[in-house]
Amino acid sequence: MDILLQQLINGLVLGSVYALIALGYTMVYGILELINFAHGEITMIGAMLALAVITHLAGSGLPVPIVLLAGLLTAMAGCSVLGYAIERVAYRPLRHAPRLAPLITAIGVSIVLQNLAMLIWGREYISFPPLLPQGWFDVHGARVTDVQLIILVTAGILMLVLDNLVRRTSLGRAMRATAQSPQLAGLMGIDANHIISLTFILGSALAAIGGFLVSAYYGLAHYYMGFLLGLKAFSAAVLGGIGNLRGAMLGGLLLGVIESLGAGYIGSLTHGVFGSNYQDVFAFLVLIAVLIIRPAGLLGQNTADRA
Amino acid sequence: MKPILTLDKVSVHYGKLHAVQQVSFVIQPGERLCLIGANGAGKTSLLKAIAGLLPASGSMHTDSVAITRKPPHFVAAQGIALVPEGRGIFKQLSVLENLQLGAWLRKDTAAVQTDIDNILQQFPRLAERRHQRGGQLSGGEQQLLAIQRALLGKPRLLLLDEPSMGLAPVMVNAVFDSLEKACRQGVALLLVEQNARLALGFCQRGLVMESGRITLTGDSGSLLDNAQVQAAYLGL
Repeated sequence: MDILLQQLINGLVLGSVYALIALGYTMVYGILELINFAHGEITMIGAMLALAVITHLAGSGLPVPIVLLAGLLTAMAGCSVLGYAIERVAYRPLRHAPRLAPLITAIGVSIVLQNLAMLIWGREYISFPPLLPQGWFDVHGARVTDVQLIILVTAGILMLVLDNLVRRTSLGRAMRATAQSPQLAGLMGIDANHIISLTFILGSALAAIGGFLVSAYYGLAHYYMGFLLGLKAFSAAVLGGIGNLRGAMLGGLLLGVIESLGAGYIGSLTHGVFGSNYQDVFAFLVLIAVLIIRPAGLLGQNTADRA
Repeated sequence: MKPILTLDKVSVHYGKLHAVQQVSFVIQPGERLCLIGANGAGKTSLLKAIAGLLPASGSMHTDSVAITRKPPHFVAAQGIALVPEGRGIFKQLSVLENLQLGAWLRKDTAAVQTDIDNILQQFPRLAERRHQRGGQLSGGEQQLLAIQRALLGKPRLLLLDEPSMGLAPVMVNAVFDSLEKACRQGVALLLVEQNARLALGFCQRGLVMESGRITLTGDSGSLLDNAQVQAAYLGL
C-alpha cells in the first residue's frame, strides 16, 4: 500500500469537508466582519438532525438513497432556519455595537447550541446506521472507499456551484457589493439585511452538508463534535484568507492534507515519541506558521485594499 | 403637478451637533436644483438623509410615499438615486459589474443590456476597461461610471454630491455633458456643488446653505446677481 498516496487521498476527503464548513465562516466574515463562532455548532446540529432522521427511517424499508437524502435535506432545512434565526435574534440587534459584543454573543450562542444538543441527543456518541456502501476500489495501491468518493464528489460539486453563484449571478454580485459596502449597495436598491440573511442560510446549509458528510465518514456524531470541527474549519478559512471564498476552499483542502500527512508520518519521524493522536496539532502549527509569514492568509488581501 | 420630493423641517444630528436644521424645500419633476454652501454647511448630510443613509427628523416624502427614516434600498426603489461624494463605486468589482448593479431594481433584463451597451458605446474608456476593477479607473472615469450607474436605475431624481471635486476641467465638462443628457430625458436633479458658478449655471434654481440652515433661495439668475452670494461663493 502506498502510504503517501493514501494519506493524500484521506487528507483531500477530510479537507473537502473542512472547506465546506470554512465557506460559512468566510462568507459571514466577508459581509459582516463577524466571526460566527456558532458555525461549528450548526455543523454539529446538521449531523445530529441528519442522523436522527436516518436512524428513524432506517428500519422503514424505504430505499437507502431516499433515507440518506431525507436526512440530508432535513439537516439542510433545519440548519438554514437555525442560521437565519441566530442572525436575526443574536447578531442583528448588535449590528452597530462595538465588535467585541457580537463576538462574545457568538460564543454564547455556540454554548447554548451545544447544551441544547446534549439535552436532546444525550452525551453518548451516536452511530451512523449501517446503510452506507461498504465498497472500495484501488488507485495505484491506495484504497478509496465509496464513502470517500461520495464525499469528494459532493463537496467538489457544491464548491463549484457556490463559486459560480457568487461570481456569475446577479445575486452573487449583490453579495459581493454588500460585502464591500453595505451602504453603497443600499443605494443600488439592494436590501443588505436580505443579503445577510441569505448568507447565513447558504452557509448554514453548507455546514449541514458538512456535518452529514463528516458523520458518514467517521460513522459517528456527538454533541461536542462541532467544537474541534468548527475550530479547524475556521483555521482553514484564516489559512486561505478569511473573507475569500476560494481561499476557504484551498485552506480547507490544505489543512486536511497537512493533517493527514502529519498523522501518517509523525510516528516514523519522531521514532514513535509522538503518535497519530497528535494529528490535530499539525493543523494549528501550520496555521500559526502561515499567519506569521502571510498575516492576511494565502489568498487574502491586506485589509488596506479591501476597504 | 405634485412635487417629486418634499422636505418639511428636516433636521440631522450627529450627537449634539446639528448638521442640518429645519430644512424645507420641494423639487418639481424634471427640475434642476442646486445646493451651494461652504464646507461643513450640512449639504452632504442633507443628501445622505434623503437617501436614507443618515437618520433624520422632520418629514420627507415623494409624490406618493413618506421616505423619512426609511432604509436606503427603500428610497432607491422610489426612484431617488444618490451619487455619493468622491468615488462612490465598488472598487473591487469590474466596471461592467458596477453598471449591472445600478440596474438591480429593474426587471426588464433585455432593456438593461441595451442600456449598458449604449453607455459603453458612449464612453469608450469605460468600454475598454469594462472587465477591470472599478478602482483602476481615474477619478473622473469613476465619477462618470458612478453617474451612469445611477442613471441605469432609471431614477426620477438624481442626488449628486460634488461631482466636479478633484477632476480635471476636461473631465468636469464630460461629467456635466452626461448630466445634461440625463436631465433632458426628464430626470430631476439635486446638485451639491462647491463650484457655485458651475452649479448655478447648470440649474434653474438654487438654495444657499449655511451652518445647517437654508439662508437664501431663488432662481439661478437672481442668486448670481445677489451681492451676498457673489461675495461668499463666487469670489467677486
